[in-house]
Amino acid sequence: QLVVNLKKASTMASLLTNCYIPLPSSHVFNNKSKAKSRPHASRKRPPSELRKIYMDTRILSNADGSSVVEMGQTKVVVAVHGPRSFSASSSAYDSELFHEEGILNVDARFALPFAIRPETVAMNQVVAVDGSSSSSSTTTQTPEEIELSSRVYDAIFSSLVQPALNRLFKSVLDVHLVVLQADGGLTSACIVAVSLALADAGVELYDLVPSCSVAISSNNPGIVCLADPTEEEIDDADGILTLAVLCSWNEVTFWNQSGRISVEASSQAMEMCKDGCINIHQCMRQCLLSKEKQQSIQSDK
Amino acid sequence: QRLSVLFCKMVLVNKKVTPGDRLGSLREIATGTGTYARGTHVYASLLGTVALASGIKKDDVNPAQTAPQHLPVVTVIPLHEKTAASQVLVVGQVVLVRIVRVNTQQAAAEIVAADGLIGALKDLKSGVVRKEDVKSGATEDVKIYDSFRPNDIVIAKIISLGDTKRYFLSTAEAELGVIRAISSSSGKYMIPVNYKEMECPETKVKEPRKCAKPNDADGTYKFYKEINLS
Repeated sequence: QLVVNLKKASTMASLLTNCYIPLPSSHVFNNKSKAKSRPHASRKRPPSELRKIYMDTRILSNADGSSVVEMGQTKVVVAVHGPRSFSASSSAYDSELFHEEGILNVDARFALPFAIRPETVAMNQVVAVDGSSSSSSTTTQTPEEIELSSRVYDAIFSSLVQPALNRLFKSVLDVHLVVLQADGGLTSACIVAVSLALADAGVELYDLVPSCSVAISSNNPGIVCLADPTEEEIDDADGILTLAVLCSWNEVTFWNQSGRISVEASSQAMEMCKDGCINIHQCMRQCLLSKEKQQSIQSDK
Repeated sequence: QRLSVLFCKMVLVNKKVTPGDRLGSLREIATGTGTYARGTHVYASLLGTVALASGIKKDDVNPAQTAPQHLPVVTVIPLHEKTAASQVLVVGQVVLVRIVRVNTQQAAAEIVAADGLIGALKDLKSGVVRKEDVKSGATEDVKIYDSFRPNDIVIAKIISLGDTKRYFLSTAEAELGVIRAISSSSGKYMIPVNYKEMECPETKVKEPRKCAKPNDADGTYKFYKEINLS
C-alpha cells in the first residue's frame, strides 16, 4: 500500500502576510501544449508539502465568532453571528416561513476586485442584449458564490451537533464568508475557516473540520499528485480532489472530484488528502488552544 | 467510584479542549453540558476547559440514557462564558420585557433580558401578552390597560414560541407582572401597593397595574438588577 509522507508545513511560526500580493495573470493566452511539456516547473516545493498556513480566531470584535485562514496566497475571513432571530438575520429567507429549529446559513462573497482574476470577474458580469454590461448587484450572489456557499454548507453541517442545533429555536446561525484572495484550494480554506469560527462562537460541534485539496496529473512517467495546489497548478492538472473529514470519527463530510482521473490516481490522491487533513486538524487545534492561553493570560492580568 | 473521580480530577479537570477531543470512556465518566457520547467514549463539543459537575446535566440530550448516578459527570465550560445556545429563548423561561403597545386584546412587548443570561439580549425579540394570559383564573373581565401601560418593565414567562414575529408571554403567576412603572402624574417610579395597584411616592396617586410580588434578596428573579433599565 502506498504510504505518502506529508511534511508538516511551517504553520504557527508563519505570520499573517497582511498585504495583497498580486496574483499572476492566468496564462490563457500562452500556448497550452507548451505549458504541458514542462509540467509543474513553477512549483518550488515538493509535491507532498502543503503551503504555508496561517490561522487566527477572534479577530472581529462585533461578531460572535470569527477567523482568518491563509493557505499560501488564498486568504479567507469568516464572521459568525448567532444564533439570532430571523428578522435580525440578513439571510434571504422568506420571513413568512416558521422554523422551529435552528438553521445554518452560509453566505460567501468574493471581495472584488482583488479576490479573483479579472477574467473571472468579466465572466460574471451580465451582458445585456444591446451590448451594455452591468455588474451584478451587491446583494445577490453570483453563481460561483452560491456554489461555494452550498459546498461549505454541506461540509460543515454534519459537524454541528444536531440536538443542540434543534434547540436553537427560531434562530439562524449566520456565517458570513469573505474571500480576500483566491489562489487554489479555496473551498478547503473556506471550510477550515468556517469550522474555526463556529468553534470560536461557542456552537456545539462534533469535531473541527479540516479540508485539503490535491491536484492530479497523469503525465509522462506515472501519476503526479500535488498537495495544496495553487490555481496555476490546478489549470495544468488533469483533475482535482477536495476532501473534508471529521478526524475523530474518521468520516468524510465533503468529497469533490473533477477532471479526468484514473482509479489508481484517485485513490493515491485520496490518501494524500487524508494525511493533509490530519495535519491541518493539528494546526486548527493548536490555533484554538494557543488563543485560549493568550486569553486566559490577559484576563489574569 | 472514588477512583474514577480522582482520575478525572487529576487528568481531566482544567484541561483545555477543542471540539472533538476525546475525554474518556463511558465506563468512567458521564456526559455533561458541552460534551457528547459516541460509541464507547465521551468527546468534547465546545472549546473550553473541562470541569466536573455535581449533578446530571439539565437538558438531557438523550433522556433515555440518563447518566448513572455513580459516575462523575464531566462538562466543558466554554471559554468566554457564553455559548451559542445561551442567546436562545426557551418555553418556560422567565424574561424581562418592556411594554411597547397595548390594545384591548393584548399587550405587545420587546424582550430585553432572560433568566440565565448575563446582561441584555443581543437582538431584541418581540413578544405579546394576550388578555387571557395576564392573570390566572377568570379572564373575561381583565382590562389590558389596567394591567400594563406602555414603557412598563414586566417580568413574564414564555409560554409558546409563537410565530416568526413574536413569542407568547404570560404573567399568570403571583411573581410575574409589572416591576417598574412610571407614574403619569409625577414621572417618578411607582411602588406596588398590592397585586393590582401601584402608587407614586410623591403624589400618592394610585394607578392600576398587574404587579409582581416583590422578592427579597434571595428571590429567583434577581437577574434584572444587573441590567440598566433606562
